[in-house]
Amino acid sequence: MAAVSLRPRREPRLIRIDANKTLAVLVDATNVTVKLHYCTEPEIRSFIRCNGANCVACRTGKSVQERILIPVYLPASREMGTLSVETTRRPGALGPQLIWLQAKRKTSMAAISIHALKYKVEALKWDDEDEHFQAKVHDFRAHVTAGRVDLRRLYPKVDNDRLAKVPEFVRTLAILEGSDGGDSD
Amino acid sequence: MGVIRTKEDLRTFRRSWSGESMLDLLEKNGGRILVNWAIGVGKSFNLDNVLEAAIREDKYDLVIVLSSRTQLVEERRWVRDPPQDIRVVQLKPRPFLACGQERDRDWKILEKGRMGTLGRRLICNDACPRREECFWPIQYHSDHLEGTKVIYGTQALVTAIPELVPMLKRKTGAGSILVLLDEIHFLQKEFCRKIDRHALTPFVSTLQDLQRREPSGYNEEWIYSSELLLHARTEDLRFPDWRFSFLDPAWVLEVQKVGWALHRQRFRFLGYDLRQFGYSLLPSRERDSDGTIIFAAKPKIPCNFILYSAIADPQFVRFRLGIDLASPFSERPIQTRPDGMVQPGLQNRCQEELPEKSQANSRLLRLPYQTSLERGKASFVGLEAVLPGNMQGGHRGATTQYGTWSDPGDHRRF
Repeated sequence: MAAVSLRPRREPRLIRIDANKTLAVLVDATNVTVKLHYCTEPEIRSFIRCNGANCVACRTGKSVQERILIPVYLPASREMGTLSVETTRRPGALGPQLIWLQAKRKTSMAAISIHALKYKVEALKWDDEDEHFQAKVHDFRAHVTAGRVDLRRLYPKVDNDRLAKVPEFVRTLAILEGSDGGDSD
Repeated sequence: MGVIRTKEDLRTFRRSWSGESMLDLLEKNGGRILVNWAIGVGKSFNLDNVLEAAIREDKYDLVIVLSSRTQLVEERRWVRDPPQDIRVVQLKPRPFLACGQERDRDWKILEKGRMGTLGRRLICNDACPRREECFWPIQYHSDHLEGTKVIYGTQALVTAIPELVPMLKRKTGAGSILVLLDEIHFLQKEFCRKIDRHALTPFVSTLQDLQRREPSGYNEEWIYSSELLLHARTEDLRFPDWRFSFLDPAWVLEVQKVGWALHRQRFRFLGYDLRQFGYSLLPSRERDSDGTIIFAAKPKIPCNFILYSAIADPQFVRFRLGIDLASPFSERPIQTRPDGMVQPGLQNRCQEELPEKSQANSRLLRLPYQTSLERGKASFVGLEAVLPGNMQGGHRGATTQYGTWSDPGDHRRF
């Protein structure tokens, strides 16, 4: 089986948050939720999207992680990006702090960083009338509406037929479900 | 000395372990020791000596003595006869009889909702005829406690307020603290706490209402974490980033005022519970099917301490407190008689000096110690003591045993 392609399409790139502050402006109403499996098998070695009903990864016992994909405008590089946020509800998580930022702070720009697994989200003033911002967001929304952009595609989807050929999955299913896994080696 | 046979032996033993020598022993053993002398050897007598030496020799800024019961507190030397040159405070429960029937009834309603701050404002006001002479309104004020050298109280306090010791340190302004614990009743209590969903919702709405009236960053922090807690799942609760800010007394009063105005008896001030939740053991946290948040809050004793108990097992104490302590007398146990028989003279002396203690311990001996955190298992402590004969229906002694106890109802091995 060929290795899974990890190259994203035209969707805004995933942003990796680290100890350095990342400036990001939240873009309303275009968040999507995605269910993922993390696969360590040599043929995959990445997050892949869950195939839902009868998903081979689910059947092998891979845990499902839910993420919220939030499009953001990056004022420093003047491009769009995507935050992949866990659904956990703890004070130091990113999701609750971003919700709080929008609901209570009445602003959409934040400086985001992470220290010792705890996100820090600082509210910053932002001028929504910024022309470059307006243009980028307008283009992004147009692509989403036309179906040319789907943030879920930032994570590869590997169909069940291909997953069923991954040798470790074949052997695991043979043990768990008693099917004849054969010898893929 | 391993065995005390005569009164003279007992006197010699007590002299050899003066307050000063006990403090030296404490220092050599890392600042936390268990003194498990047998009943009647003189633990309480020694406690008084240690306290006096610690203060008179300026070894500690503050000594906190926590006894199992009020009666035992009142037997302590400096409670019966306080020194003139040292500030001694005894923490007491609210004097409900002095409050009068009507005030007591109102107090009980507010106490149920943990609104003591509001109670002091609404009930202990100028209309109370005993206000001027009453200790209660000011008992925990920093102004009252500042500079205090000795504080006495019952162990019920540290059960109700796991952060009692750090709180007293802050309010007295003390640098170094020694805690003297007379018996282990507080370790046998349930550490499990609950925050009911039906209490959390009105608490959050109260904070939100206060924020609309008087916006503040401090209150906003409380709203953020409390709102999040309403929806947090068990896996979310087990992260270490649940920390609730230090309780600002002015904010506490405002929240209680608004909560009482909005919700009356339905309101429970959760500030103390949430602070304890923030310090609780991560694996102990869970949300049950009703949405109630459950957690274990261990008493915090972040300073040197001596625990006096004839019957406490060091392993049990370590497990319950979650900290290490030395048991320097476990290697050379002190018995009143090697064959487990009581010497009548000694027995009489013990009962004269420690009547309440003997009764309390004889009752404790019949009960295996159940630990709430072990869930379904029970453990019992070892004994290295001889009981007064009339307490056990004859001149019989107890023996040392260690292990697990599968059936708490089965006392045959005792």
